Amino acid sequence: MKAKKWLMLCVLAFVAFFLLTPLWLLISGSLMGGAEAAQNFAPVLENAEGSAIWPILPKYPTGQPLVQLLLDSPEFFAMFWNSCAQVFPLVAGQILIGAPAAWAFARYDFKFKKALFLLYIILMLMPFQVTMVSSYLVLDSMKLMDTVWAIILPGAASTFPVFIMTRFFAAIPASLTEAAALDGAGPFRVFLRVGLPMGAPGILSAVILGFFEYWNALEVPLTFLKDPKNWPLSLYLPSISADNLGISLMASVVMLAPALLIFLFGQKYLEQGICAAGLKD
Amino acid sequence: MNQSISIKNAHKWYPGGVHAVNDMSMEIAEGEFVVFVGPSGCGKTTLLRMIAGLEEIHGGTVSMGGRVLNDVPPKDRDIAMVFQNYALYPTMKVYDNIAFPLKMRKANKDEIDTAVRDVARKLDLGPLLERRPGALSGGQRQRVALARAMVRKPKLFLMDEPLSNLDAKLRVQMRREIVNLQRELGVTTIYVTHDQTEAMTMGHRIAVMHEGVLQQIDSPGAVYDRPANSFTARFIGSPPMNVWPIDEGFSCYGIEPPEGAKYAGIRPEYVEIAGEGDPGAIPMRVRGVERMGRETLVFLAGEGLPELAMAVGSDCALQPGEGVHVRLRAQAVRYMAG
Repeated sequence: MKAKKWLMLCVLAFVAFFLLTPLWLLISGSLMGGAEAAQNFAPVLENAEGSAIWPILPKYPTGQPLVQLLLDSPEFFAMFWNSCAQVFPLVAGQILIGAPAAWAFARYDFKFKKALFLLYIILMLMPFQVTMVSSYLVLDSMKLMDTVWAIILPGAASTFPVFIMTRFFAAIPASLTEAAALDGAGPFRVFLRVGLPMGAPGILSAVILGFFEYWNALEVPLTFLKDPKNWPLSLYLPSISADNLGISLMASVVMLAPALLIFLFGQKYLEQGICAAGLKD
Repeated sequence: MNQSISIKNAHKWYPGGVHAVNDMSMEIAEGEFVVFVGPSGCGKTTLLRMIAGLEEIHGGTVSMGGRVLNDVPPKDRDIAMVFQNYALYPTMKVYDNIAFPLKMRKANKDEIDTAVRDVARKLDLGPLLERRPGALSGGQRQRVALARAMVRKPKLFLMDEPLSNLDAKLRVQMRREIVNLQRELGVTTIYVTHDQTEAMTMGHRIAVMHEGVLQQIDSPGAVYDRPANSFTARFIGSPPMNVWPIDEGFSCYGIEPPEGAKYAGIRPEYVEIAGEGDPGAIPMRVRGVERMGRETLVFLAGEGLPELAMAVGSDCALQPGEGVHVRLRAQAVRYMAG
């Protein structure tokens, strides 16, 4: 039994090592000075002789990339703000629109409910590339192209959070909503006072999954935002040139931070959400 | 306002043509405690939910104090219900659970606080007010559910098998508490159970149901002693009444059934051991003996006769396989037309 436990531990440690290595290299690289980075990666970036070296720890750790990023890269802040201005309202919109829709699917019987839910699932399964052209045409005709609304509105009406929250709302025992109704609550207050608190894990997992999806989005902003001044942070990273490698790695770390914090805070809900959605990973 | 309940020719169908409640009619007086009892699927919970407004009424009417409730939403019926699984709001503390019905009615804060602490004192919930339902035992949760139902002084209490999740000892205790509270508050109460002891001990009247049809509604004593039909006779009482169709040669016991009677029955306690030559003595054989402590149940079979249960004292020495003569107390035999 003990040997089995050790074996399992070794396997997991091995897997964890491979998963954590890129993160570690990212952090160590972000503390590398410009000259050191240029020297280490010259064979890759400048076709120099030999092979590139990525040290476990930088020879001369420095905060210079961080200082440069925070004090000398106004475009970074503009894009960070763009990301926040697009992702936070989008996720809020997903919940505002999605939670009542999910409640209706989970708790009410109405005509064509099954067909409508099937349509939601089909829309959920469609990749962005399939709906891209139609979305483009609709946004263009509404004169929303190149504005934050081109990102927020389609995202807020996404069907995926509805799907997740429906599963959670459906799991609330009927006797609780019935008790609330008998206690004097109308349909809206039953949703507000029983549905929302009881479905909070589902709402949180929808928030977290939504945040991850749109915080890291590349195709959507690239398609609907032509003016680089509207671009989110996810488009900043590919735009940094090779000579600013230290800054690029530091920007990656800074961009990773909110997602990492949200993940650590909401890991439990995220797992529940993934289970509810029946997704593998 | 009068708290009497009137159910007239109520019907309920479920998808697939299941007739869950079939032409049910009854009158429940103000302050009365009525127990709906019957086997699973007899329609007792469905009828309770129809009264609560949680199930649509497909025919007939349900009225309270003369006001027809059919189209009144649950929140406006002023009815409190205790659910089988308690239905406490897990995200709220005990205090907020109890206060919820008052908050929904927009009572002011002081009023709510007084009412909650008052009812909590009555049900010994004082020290638990700051806990969440998840941190309470089954009995405590049951008390909170009762407190939530009582706090706003509703016109009608509905209880759907509220004790079925408790252990035997706690059930006896809570049974007594619910009866005492009901008598003290005087609120009309309808209680659903499939437990005969609860039915016999708690209510002023029992409504026995079977396959959506009301079989009998009467006082516990009357239902036990004078069952309206063979179903009630077999359902109420443990062990149940001995019931035979008349055409199975019941007259051999020396008793002539009246005209129109289809079934005859006798409670096991009225079957007595007799001497071999006694008038009306029937020769039988012991098939099984169950010693219950206070009494002994003896199951008898005779040639060409249906099985008979007999309840005798704990000192009975009969053994399976033994022959015995028994006699039926003639005035205790009941006849039923259906």
